[in-house]
Amino acid sequence: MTEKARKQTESPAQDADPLIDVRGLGMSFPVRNSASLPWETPPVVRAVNNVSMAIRANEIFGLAGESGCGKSTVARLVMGLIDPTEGEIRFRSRPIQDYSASEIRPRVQMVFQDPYTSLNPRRTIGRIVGDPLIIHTGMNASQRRERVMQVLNRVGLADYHYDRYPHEFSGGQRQRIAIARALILDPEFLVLDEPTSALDVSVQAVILNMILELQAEMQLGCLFITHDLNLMRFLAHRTGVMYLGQMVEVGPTQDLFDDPLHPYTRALIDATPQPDPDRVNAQVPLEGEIPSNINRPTGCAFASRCPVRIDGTCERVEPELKPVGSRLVACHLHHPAEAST
Amino acid sequence: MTGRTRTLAVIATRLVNAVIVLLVLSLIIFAFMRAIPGDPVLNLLGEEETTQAQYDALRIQLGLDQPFYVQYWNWFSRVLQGDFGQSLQTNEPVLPVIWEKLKATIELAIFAVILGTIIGVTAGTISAVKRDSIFDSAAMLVSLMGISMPVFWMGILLIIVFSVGLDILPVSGMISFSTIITPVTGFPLLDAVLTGNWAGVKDLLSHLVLPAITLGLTPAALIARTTRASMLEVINEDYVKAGLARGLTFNQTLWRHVMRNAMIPVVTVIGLEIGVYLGGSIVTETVFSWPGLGRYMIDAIYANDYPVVQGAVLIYASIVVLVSLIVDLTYSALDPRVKI
Amino acid sequence: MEPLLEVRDLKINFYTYRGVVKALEGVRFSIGQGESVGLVGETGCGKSVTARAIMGFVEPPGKIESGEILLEKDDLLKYSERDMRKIRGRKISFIFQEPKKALDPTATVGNQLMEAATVARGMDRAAAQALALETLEQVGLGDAQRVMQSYSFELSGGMAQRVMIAMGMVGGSRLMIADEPTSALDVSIQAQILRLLGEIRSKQNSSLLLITHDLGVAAENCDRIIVMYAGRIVESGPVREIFREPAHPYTVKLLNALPAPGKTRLEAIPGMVPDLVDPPAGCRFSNRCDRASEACSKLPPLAQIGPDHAVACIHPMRVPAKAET
Repeated sequence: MTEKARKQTESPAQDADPLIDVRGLGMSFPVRNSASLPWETPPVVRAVNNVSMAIRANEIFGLAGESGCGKSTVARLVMGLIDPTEGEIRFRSRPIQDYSASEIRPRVQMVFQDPYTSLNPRRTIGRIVGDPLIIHTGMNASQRRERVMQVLNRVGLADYHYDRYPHEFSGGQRQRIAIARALILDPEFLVLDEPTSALDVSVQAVILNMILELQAEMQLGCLFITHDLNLMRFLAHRTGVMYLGQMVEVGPTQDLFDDPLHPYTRALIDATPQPDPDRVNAQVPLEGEIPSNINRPTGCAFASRCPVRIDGTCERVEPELKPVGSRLVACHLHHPAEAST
Repeated sequence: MTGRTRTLAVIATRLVNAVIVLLVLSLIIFAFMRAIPGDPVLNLLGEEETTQAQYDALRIQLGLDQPFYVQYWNWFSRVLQGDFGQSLQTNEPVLPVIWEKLKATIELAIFAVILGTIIGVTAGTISAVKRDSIFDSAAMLVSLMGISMPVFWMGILLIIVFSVGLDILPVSGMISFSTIITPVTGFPLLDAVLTGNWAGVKDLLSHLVLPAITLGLTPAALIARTTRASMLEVINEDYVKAGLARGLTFNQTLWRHVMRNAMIPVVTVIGLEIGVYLGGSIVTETVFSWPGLGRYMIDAIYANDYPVVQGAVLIYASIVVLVSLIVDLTYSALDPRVKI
Repeated sequence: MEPLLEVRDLKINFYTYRGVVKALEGVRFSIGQGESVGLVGETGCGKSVTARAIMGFVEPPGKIESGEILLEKDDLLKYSERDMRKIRGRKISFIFQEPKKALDPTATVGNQLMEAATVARGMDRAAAQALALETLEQVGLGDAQRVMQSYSFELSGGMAQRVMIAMGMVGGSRLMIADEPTSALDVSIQAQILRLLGEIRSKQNSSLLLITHDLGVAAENCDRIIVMYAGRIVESGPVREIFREPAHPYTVKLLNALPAPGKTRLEAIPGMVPDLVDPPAGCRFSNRCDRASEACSKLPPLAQIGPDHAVACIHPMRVPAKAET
């Protein structure tokens, strides 16, 4: 597969029938602590705020952002592990809530960040990978065993690993097991939440190669979540950047990295270190901290740190995610008409 | 809400919870007392020959003929007014007697808590710092024995060794007949100190030492183990390394940064042990003939003296609830992350 | 240039129940005054152990078997714990990976900062407080008074790391050892902290030993790079040569494994890091190296292949690696 084929530029406006369609997604949590009094209304965290995106079959959609941006909450929402407080998620044009667990689970699967806690230490690899077959298929024991072996081999593990326990494996091997478990039911959509952030560079390389191969081979739609922009640039066809619960920019990865439109996207790209001693990074790093999103006021979430803020507008009016060329951007700089309202 | 009013509001909420706990508890005790075998009326009538009429009259006089809920309400409404009723045995009002006996129990318990905490924390700390040393192994062995040994057995052992064998400490009681303490507060040891009666102090302490050790040793063992585990955990924290990295000695780091953090779980254990102390005090008082609330209550249970037992258990429960609240407040003093 | 710190043939073993872990062997490097040296490698390569050894933080079951750690020509390994106190904080400071865990949760920032001045350097309280406030402002914590009264749980990771940097400055140290100082931080905060470290270094002409697994961080912030693998230094040299003309096959493979635009596949390194209880004889990378030969079973010395560029390999690659960016 060529570079060009993978990163073909497509306009998000032409999404006829996306695999996953997220519209106006919002998720608020109340935060209670031990010192809350029973009659007080707890403060609310808006972990995800008005997020929209579409992920097609046979595409890797990358979701990037720093801590607290809501990317992991989006993953849990898309998986149907929690119910959104606002908005809608459609899987193959049908609201995800309308699917029963037994309908959706074989089709939508997830690989978690920490391979040391996501595998039950008391079960053998064969059982960890094979259990979904018991629940979702009518296979008998020998058919299941055969299928598990097949998938284990596909992720680079051998037959003799079948009866071993997770503690006998390295981090990279565990992540292979987690991927095997996610693929055993032949899903259409896979959520990968920072699957390599606990791994060393050389191990990460192996796992990423494997994910790319499997994705192409199985025509998977993937939601790939990471804080590492270098990773995103390498493997995502399209990328969304989130900040404090909001989607600030979405577009084809190449376009987004070559010419970031949102000031936050640009700052994030500039701040990401490159293995190049001659890279001149004259850009002053973003000042200040990521603010708390507990009871956050309206306006652009990035306004407090934005180097090109339009005073009087950005901190008051929440910018909408609107098309600019091949991309969607939520920034008043790119939608001047909106700023005057 | 500002910090101070907020703190008060949280404490008030906790107190309301405490009252609910005590209310439920009072009902349970009341029911249990009536469920256990024995009849207070028969106890009162004693060995003399009596008629059914006499029995019925006494029963009506004591109000024991009424339905359960009426009895409970009669008792409880008076408790709310500070009247715990009269002892069926002696006819004395219950509360003043409980208060008198409680003083002796408090004196014993406070000494035991102090002794237990000092021994436990010291042994635990040394064990942690000198990990795997002979002291560590010995202390942990002794503490295991301390946890496993029943309180009464410990008391009897101590009496055999120190009172009977070595004859250096009195066998039982709180005070010698010949010693006279001028009452000021009603707490004998405190009064003796206040009036400068040093002979009295010596006599009281010699009586106090064995029961206090008996009562304090089991909790001390648990405190020692908790302290050790907690210290070992804290010593491995980065901020302890960071203390060394900025030029502090190990001992400075220990005092300035390890101790306070390591004490947080220990305070929890001490708080939980209060119930153990009070339970243990009942046994200890019996073994050492200590004139405290525990022994008084045991006697009352044998005599089916309902008001006394109800009152005493309610007081014990109140103390436990109150101490738990104090422990929670101590947390917020020790740990700035805990806001009350 | 006279080196500020020189590590010579450091060897550290860990005596575990599985056997003797040969965690560090033949490690030698130096750091000049005002220099920034990056110690890079993957998990278990020994970079953190090296840093801790310099601070005198190797505890049982770890044991320093041999070697020298010379700070201004004095061997720190011969120092008593008492003497090390005068080095820690005053001459060498240490920055931790998780800044919020490096601060006592029950003591205020001010308490700990002033401690570095009063207890360790014998200043009086007033002078210590003034110094602490001034230093906090220098590390970009404007509201210094309030920060002094804060506890670690009230600070963000970035603020806590600034406090830790201030801690080293209060002690007056000239060498800062930073063990993955930004791995726990967000990218935008990482950029701030790295910039701050650079500014302080150039202002004070102090030195930095930066331990990191992130080759990008090392490339952008160090003058010289030391690459470690399985307890040994495999290559060391000026940052440009390491990234442009890496000579050790491991360095080359590590760079090729990094995701970068334009690549469709990442080069994977076959096999696994050896168990250091029983490492391969000779070159420890030989069992994963496609250039390995019979000769690799003998230990290759760290040989100079250019001014200040050394490699421990019998078959070094002298060809420039493919450009990454």
